[in-house]
Amino acid sequence: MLLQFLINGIASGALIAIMAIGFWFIYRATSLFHIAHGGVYTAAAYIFYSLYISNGISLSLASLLSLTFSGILGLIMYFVVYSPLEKKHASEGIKFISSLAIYIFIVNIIALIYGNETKMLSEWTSKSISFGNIIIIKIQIYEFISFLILLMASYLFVKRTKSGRAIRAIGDNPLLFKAIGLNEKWVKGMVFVIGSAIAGVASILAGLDVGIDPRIGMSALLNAVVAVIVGGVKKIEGVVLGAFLIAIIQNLVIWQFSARWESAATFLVLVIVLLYKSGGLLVVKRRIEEL
Amino acid sequence: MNYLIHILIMISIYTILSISLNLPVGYTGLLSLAQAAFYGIGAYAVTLLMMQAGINFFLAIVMAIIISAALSLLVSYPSIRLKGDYFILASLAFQIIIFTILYNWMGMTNGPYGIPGIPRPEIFGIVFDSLPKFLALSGVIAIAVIIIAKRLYSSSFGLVLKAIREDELSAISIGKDVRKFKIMAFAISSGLAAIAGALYAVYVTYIDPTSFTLDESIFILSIVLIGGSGNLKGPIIGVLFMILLPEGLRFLGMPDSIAANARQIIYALILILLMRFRPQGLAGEYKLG
Repeated sequence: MLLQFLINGIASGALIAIMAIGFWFIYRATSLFHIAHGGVYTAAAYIFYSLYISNGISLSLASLLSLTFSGILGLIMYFVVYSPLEKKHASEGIKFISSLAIYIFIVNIIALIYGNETKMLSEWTSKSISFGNIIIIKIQIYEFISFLILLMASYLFVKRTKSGRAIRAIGDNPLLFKAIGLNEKWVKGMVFVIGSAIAGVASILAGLDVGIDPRIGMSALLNAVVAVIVGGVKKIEGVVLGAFLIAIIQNLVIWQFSARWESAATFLVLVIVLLYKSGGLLVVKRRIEEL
Repeated sequence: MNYLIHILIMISIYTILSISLNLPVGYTGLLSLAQAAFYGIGAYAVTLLMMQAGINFFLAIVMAIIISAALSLLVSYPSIRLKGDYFILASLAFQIIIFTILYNWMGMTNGPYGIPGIPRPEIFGIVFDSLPKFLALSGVIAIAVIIIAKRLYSSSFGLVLKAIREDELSAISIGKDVRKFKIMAFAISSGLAAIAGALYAVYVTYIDPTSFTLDESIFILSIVLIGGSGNLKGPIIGVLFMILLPEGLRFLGMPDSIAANARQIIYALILILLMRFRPQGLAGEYKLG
C-alpha cells in the first residue's frame, strides 16, 4: 500500500508541478496573479479534444497544435488585458479581478460550445501495468516523463540562456530592467507564451488521465498556486518541491481519510505557509537593501 | 405577482450581502473571497439553532451574527497583515475550507443532502409564512442594515477606515491601530453577511452547501465591484444590476439552456471593462488599489 501511495503521489505531483512551472514562469517575470491560467488550461484540453477525438488527428500533431493555441491565447491575454493595466499602474486587486473575469469568460464560452458534461479523451491511457499488488497506469508514466523533460528544459532555460536571465531580472527589478533599455514587453510576452503552452501540457495529460469538463481549470490552477507559494516564488526548485509536497499530502489524506477532505488539506497547508513562512519554504536570502 | 415578490426578497438578501462586503472592500481596501462562507455560516447557524435547540429565529439571528463575527477572526486576525494578492488567497483558502466542512460534517450539517424543513420565523404569534409577509420581514431587515451602514460610514469609525484606505501610513502616524480597525471592519462585515444567510435559510426552508461555494463568493464580490464600493449607492446599484440583468435577459427571450453561461459571460466582460476604464464601478467612490 505504501508503495502504491508513493506512485500515485509522484504521478499527481508531476502533474501539479507541470502546471506550477507554467504559472511560475508568468508570475516570476510579471508578478501577475494569473488566475486566467486556469482558463488557458481548460481551453487547451478542449482544443485537443476537438482535434484528437472529434477530428481524428494524430496524438502528436493534435498536442502540438493545442500547445500552440494555448501559447497564443496566453499572449492575447497579456496584450489585450494585462499590458494596458500595467501601463495605467493598476493595483494588484484590479489585475487579480480582471484575471478572474477572463477565467470566468473563457470557462463559460467553453461550456456554451461543448456543454457541461465530462468528456473522456481516450481509452488506451487507462491501461495499467501491475507488479503484484502495485498498479501503474500507463498515463502516469507519461506524466512523470513529461515532467522530467519540462523541468530540465525549464531549468536550463532559466539558468543558462540570456532570455532566462531576463525573466529573473525583470521579476527582481522591473524599473531597473526598463531603465537600462531592455524590452519589457518582449520578455513578458515570451513568458506568457511559454507558461501557457506548459499549461496545455498539463491539461492534455490530466485530460487523458481522468477526462475533461469546463470546471477543471480552477482546481488545477489553485493546486499550482499553492505549490508555487508553498515552495517559494523565487526559484523553480521551490516550485517543484511545493508541488510534490502538496501531492503527497493530498494522497495521504485520500489514503488515510477520504478524497472529500483533499482540498481542505491543501488550503490548510497554504494558510500555514502564508502565516508562518510567507516567502515559501525555499527562501532566497536577500541583501538588506533589496527589501 | 409572486414572481415579483420573490425578486424583491432576493434583492433584499443580496443588498445585505453587498453592503456587508462593502465595508472591507470599499473602506479598507481588502478584497475578500470568503463572503459566501460567512453567508453560509449564518444560514447553518440559524438553522441548527432553530431546529436543534428550538431557539426563536430572532434570537438565533443575533447568535448567528456573533458566531460569524467570531469565526471571522480566524481569517482576519492572522492574515490581515498580508498584502494584496496574498490576502485574497488567504480568504479564498478559508472559503474552501468552510465549504469542505459544510459538505463533509455529516453529523452536524447533513453534508451534501442539506437540511430540509427549516421552520418559518415567528414572533408574537405572527408567522412569516407567506411571500408578502416574508418580503416585509426581509425588507425591514435590509432597510435596517442600510441605516446601520449609513451611520457606520459617517461615524468616526468609518472615517478612520477611510483614512486607512487612502493612506495607511498617515493613519498609523496619527496613532490609529490600523490592524485593529481592519479586524473590526472584517468582523462587522461577517456578522452582516450572517444576517443574509439567516434570511435565506428561513426563506428557502432548505439549505445545502452548494449555495455557499467559491462561485457565490465571486458573485458577491462582483456585485460590489460592478456597482462600486466606498459609498452606499454603489453596492445597492450593483445588486439591482446583477439581480435584474438575468431577469431582463429572460424577458428578451434568451433560452434557459444558455442563460446561465451567457449571464456569466456578460458579467465577466463588464468586470474586465470596468477594471480597465472605471475601477470605481458604476456608482462607487473607491478606486481599487
